[in-house]
Amino acid sequence: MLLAAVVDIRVKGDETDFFLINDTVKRFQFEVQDRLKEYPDGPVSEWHVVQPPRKKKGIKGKMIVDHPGTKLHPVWDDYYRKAWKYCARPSTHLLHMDEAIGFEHMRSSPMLQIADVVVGAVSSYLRGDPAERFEILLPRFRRNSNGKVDGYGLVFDPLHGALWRTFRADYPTLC
Amino acid sequence: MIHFYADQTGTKDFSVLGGPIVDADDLGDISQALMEFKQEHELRASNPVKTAGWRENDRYRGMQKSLHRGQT
Repeated sequence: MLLAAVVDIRVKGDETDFFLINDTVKRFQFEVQDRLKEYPDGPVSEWHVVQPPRKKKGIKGKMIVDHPGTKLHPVWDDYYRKAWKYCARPSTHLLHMDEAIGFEHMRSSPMLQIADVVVGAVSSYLRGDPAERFEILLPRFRRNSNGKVDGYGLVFDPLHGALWRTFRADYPTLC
Repeated sequence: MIHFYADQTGTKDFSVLGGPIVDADDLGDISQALMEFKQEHELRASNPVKTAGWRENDRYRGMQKSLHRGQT
């Protein structure tokens, strides 16, 4: 399953990276919550000990990004912490997310190489290149029960901005 | 544990962050499938499908050189 956030730099400016993390991590949290429904009781403790609320269900989500370099590393870490601490509301409380973001090198992580292919396809579509790769991946994006991708697997920030209007014009059934 | 692997790219107009959400139990199978795909298509095992970050490659090359110097 795929997930991506697109932020308009012209609108968000210096805070683009923060909004990218904020938008994706919330949807990831929702996805983890959805998967929890598949295992409503969670794993049964061997010792029949009452589990604390946040570990009751036994599933947690961890976000892992490409190592951006030594200088940017603490910046991204800080953005994640801000999203985790301040942007959580009762409806989107990030209870099932790991407290820290993880870093791996693209070269040694096959999954990050797949992520590179995904963002490359989204980026080339938004640049106006042929959307073949994007359309191959589109059915695999996270979606709701009605089949809508917009706001679930593909998030545009600002909502109803120029990029969103482009997507809506091309794929009206997914919005 | 469920993992969300995210990479970033973009232009001067927009920035994209995204990638796959995978169950930790499936990580091994997916990684192996990707490696087999690369081998089949004669892509270098250590390189991403699309070579992102040539600066990173340079940095690794520099690290290898310094290691080599240290050993000899």
